[in-house]
Amino acid sequence: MKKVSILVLALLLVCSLSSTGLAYTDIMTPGGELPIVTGDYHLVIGTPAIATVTDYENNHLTQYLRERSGVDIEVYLFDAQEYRQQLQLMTSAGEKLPDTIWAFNLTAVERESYGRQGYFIPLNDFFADGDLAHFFWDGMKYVPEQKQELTIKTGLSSDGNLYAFPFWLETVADAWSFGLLINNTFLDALDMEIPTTTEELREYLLAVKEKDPNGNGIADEIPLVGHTSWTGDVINILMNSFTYYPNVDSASQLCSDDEGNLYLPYATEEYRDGLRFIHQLYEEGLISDLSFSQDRYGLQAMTDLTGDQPDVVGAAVSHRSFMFASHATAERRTHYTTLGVIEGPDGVAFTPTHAVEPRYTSYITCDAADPEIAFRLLDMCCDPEATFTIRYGREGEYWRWATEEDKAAGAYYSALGYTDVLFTSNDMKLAWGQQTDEIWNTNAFTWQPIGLTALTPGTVYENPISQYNADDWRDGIVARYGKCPKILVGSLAYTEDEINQLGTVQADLNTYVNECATRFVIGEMNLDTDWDTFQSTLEAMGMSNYLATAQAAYDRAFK
Amino acid sequence: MTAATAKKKGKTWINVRRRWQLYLFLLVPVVWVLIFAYYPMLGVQIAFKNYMPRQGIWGSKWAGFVHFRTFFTSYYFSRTVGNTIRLSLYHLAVNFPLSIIFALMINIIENPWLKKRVQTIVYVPHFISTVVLVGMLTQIMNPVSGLYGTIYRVFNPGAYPTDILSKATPFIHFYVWTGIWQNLGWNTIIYMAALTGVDPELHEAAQIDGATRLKRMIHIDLPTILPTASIVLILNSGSIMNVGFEKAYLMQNNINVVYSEVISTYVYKVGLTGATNQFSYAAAVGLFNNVINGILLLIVNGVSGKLSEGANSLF
Repeated sequence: MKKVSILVLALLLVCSLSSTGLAYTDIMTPGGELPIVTGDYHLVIGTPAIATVTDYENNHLTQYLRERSGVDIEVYLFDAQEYRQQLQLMTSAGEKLPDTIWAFNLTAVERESYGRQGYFIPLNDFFADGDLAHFFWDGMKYVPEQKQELTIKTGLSSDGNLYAFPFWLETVADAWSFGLLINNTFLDALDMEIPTTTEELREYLLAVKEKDPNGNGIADEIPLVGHTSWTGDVINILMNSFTYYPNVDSASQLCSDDEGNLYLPYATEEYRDGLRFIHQLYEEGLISDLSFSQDRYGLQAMTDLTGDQPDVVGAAVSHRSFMFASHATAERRTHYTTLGVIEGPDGVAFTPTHAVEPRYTSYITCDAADPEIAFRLLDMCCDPEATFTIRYGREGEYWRWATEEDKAAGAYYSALGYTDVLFTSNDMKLAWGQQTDEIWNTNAFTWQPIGLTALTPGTVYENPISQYNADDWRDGIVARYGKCPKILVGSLAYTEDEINQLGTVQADLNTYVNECATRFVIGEMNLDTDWDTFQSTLEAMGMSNYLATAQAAYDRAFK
Repeated sequence: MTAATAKKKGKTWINVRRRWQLYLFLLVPVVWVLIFAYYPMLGVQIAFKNYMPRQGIWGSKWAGFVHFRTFFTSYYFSRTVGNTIRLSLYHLAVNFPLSIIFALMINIIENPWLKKRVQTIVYVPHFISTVVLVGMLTQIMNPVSGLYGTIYRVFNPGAYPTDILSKATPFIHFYVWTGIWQNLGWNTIIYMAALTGVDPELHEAAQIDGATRLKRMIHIDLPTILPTASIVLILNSGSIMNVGFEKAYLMQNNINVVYSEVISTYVYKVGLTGATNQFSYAAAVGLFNNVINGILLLIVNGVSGKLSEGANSLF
């Protein structure tokens, strides 16, 4: 008896010795194979606790990650709002950090400073190893070619290191939601075609103003109106028929020619011509003053009408969803056609857009015993099945692989070349953001590049308004898609010195340009006499210096 | 230190020693104030540093007065300071006399039922949040779908009135008068409290002497609330540079920004929005703001103290 127990003890001792003595390489499978580990392995993921997630421990997603990776995952919850401060406190107090932290929205400056101090591990070498980053590189096939390189480059800190694991989240419509919607009942009443040039647009707006297209006998039509909320900037939209000007979601107003030489559009003569045209429209009473003062609900009150109220808006600068309380079922939705681009006198026809960038919110910390395994776990999230499970929930219930029937129905964005149908979540969606223990209610660590999210079939609706709403918007997006310069300038990684030197110049320029553009348009400033003052004030604020610094940062990362 | 104060001080300590159990109670609030009110004030040092979030408040490098210099030479310096002072003085000039007059008016209502009802009704707008207030304003003033436009169209069918909110100059009037509408009733509370302290015998005696209601108001009520009024004025002048951030920011658009860009909205824009957060710069501007406020408070307090020979001053 005694012998047996000693034997058992000895055996246990040997086992424990061998398990502690094992290097991760002994239990880690080769890259690209799942599960990631074949033995017991414990790993802590830190993430901000999202209030709508009712349970992280018995969450389907947590279970899924555990089962698929073979890693015994422990979730360490940070505060939903104060997680940045919490992280700062933990590092300055020398506390042990979780192996990896996910969904941490840090600024590029914070990312770099944690990285430089060694709290985050640089991941450049991990990505260089095609084996470790198997699913990441495999997922690249869904990323458009010109963006593949940017996936890593955009996230580089000024020291050349990549401190975060990049994830994509882009849908086709995301960056192309900026433009005009035109009232097709007015077009019919006026017997006009959809305007394609600035001159045709002006003629249409004049006709709306003067010819009473709603037929109620009074001149209550408002030719063109926008709003001050997202996607409502009239000047921004019309300007793109003269020179490319990025939208409000862009990291800055910096633009680039095809060779990567940066410039600021508001310092150009084309910009001045654009303002001249917009000012002319304003002077002729074609742009409503309200565009500069009302929010989206003001526009909605003008367009979301019912009963016999006559339409008044000729053309609106807005996202479709801001024009109606529920755009998929609103009575008047069918009165508006989503436009593509409007060509200017010199043939310029852009859509204001922005560089959609990967999300750099997942980090591997210095306290990760085996960063390779934490990295493999993040890499696993790039696998489509994992991504869909993270985003939608379990397969079969909240999303499914496309059936032959789905494929036969055709892809929603086939007009853009996305003809394959891979998956669908139509009609099975877990409403996003609801209370759940199915997922973590975040997109932060999903690999959803544009080439993946576009692989869904179109939906067939019973309600003709919903069908019109889906088709019309899709056609508008397709018409706008890709109408932008070859290079879009996104976030730039500045060094600490550059940041101190730049100071407030970017915010100052931004505010001042928006203010002056509006004042030029409404005639409070004169495009002939005040233009030089405008330019010299920009110069005095430090425009040249800003441009030079930005160029340096750009060259460092992208050249 | 004179002998008298030394003696007094000694006495205090004797008292403390004798009743230390009572003074022990003070410890908690004192510690609380030190931790939550004084310790955070040390953070203001970032105004003199190049604050980097990771290096923390204490670890960031010193930069001297560079942020102050940048602000003073900035394009936005004269505009933000000018707008702040203009809005503040306008508001003070309207609000201060109006609330006194309003308090006196309520006070001469003799029917207590009516008086209470009037007070309650004028207090109510105070509880409307700024966001809702600005929302109401933009909705009512919308020339197409708002009350303003609807009424206008009753008289001019088919036409839209001018969009007042997309003009620059009306901003300042809207800002001040919506503030008056919202807070006038609330601001009378302090005066009403002082007025209830008036001895009714004074009024009776004046009535017997033949004083009219107006005379009694001027010679009895007004002097009663004068000390309160001067304290209120001193306190208000201590916040001349503080124009409420929310309302100015919410009412702001690209057209009225010429008049609506005040120090607090500017600090928000450069400090917390934009690609490079300028915490130090924003802190420097805020500190400058508060120093001016402090100076103004001391000046008005001094003047008020001089005029009333020390009776109506804070300290």
